[in-house]
Formats: sequence, C-alpha cells, structure tokens
Amino acid sequence: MTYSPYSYKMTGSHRYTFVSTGKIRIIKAVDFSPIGVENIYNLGFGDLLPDGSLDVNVKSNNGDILKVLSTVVHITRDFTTRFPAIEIFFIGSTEERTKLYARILKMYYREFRKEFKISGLIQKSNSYSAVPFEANDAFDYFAFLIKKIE
Amino acid sequence: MPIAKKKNIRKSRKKPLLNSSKSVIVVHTTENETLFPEKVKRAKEILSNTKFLDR
Repeated sequence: MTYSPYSYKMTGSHRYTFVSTGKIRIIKAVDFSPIGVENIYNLGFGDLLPDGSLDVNVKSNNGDILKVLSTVVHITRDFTTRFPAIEIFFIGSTEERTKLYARILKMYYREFRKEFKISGLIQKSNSYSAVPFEANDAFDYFAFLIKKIE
Repeated sequence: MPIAKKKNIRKSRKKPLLNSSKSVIVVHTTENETLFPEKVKRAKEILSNTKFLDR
C-alpha cells in the first residue's frame, strides 16, 4: 500500500501494538492467534482501551483508516515473514468492514499477489468455499485467507 | 524606582488521560491467550464448514 504505516512494535511472539495519531491518540493491538485448524491463525485487530480491555467493534473515526490498514498490512507481512508456514484468516467485524477489506485487496492486488497467496471465502447457505481471490470477480467475499509465498 | 514587569506565565494545561503518552495500558492476557477469543471461536466455526477448492 502506498500509505506510509505507523511504526509498530512486537509485544509478544504473536502480538503487535501501534499508536494511531489521527484526531486523537488511540493504541491499536494486532494479534495472531491459532484457531485450532492446522497452520491457520486468526488476525484480530482492535482498540486497546485505557482500562486494558479491547474493543474490536469500535468505529474510531480517527481520520486515518488507510494509514491504520497500511500498518496492519505491514504487520501481517512481518509476521508471515517470521512464520511463513502460517496462513492468516481475517474477517471484518461488520459486513461493511469486510467489503472495505475486499476493496483494498482488489485495489492493491497486483502488489499483494507478488508476496501472498490470497483466497476468498464465499458463503453458500450454511457452508463456505475457499477459492483463489481474483481482483476482477464479482463475488461478495465473506472472509479471507492469505499466506506468504515462500 | 521602576516597577518590575509582570511576567507572562502561561497556565499549563493538564492533558486528558487518553492523549497522554504517560497513560498506562494493562492487557490482562498472557502470551498464549488470544486478545480476541470471540473472533477466534467464530473463525474456527467458519473454517470447520469451509471447503478448500483452491488447494
């Protein structure tokens, strides 16, 4: 992504934090957690609140969404470089947020595909199919999987 | 005798806690615990109902 990221720090082997300095100062946490499916980790992302809790559904409206997402992309790149065998699952906290992720993946597809194998999950009633992500298709993707190309 | 000029002292504003770089953030998890247990649970449910057509 062309937006320069915020600087971030690794605060655990699977955890990162950075500070969004848009309208106000917000500490963001990015966490990669094993799902229980071999070599697939969930990408969790939210605001760290002053009481130590996390809000994954918050709409910060801090005026820096693209810079924040660029930072999450850089963090994901760092994590998957350290652990190339791990595939990352991610889904928006809302349908609207998932659509935003799809738009960004489509917009930067030519860049991302050099580094990552990207799959999209398509919902079919109560089940899902993981198919190769394509920038030109018209699917409403439900979630995504990305893996570093080794 | 000249009168000493009154110094213009600006009152220091106390920054709100959220904007303070000195605010202390405590995350009540250990290294092995996820910060997002509900999202992980949901991801597991979705992936256990997923057919992988691309591999």
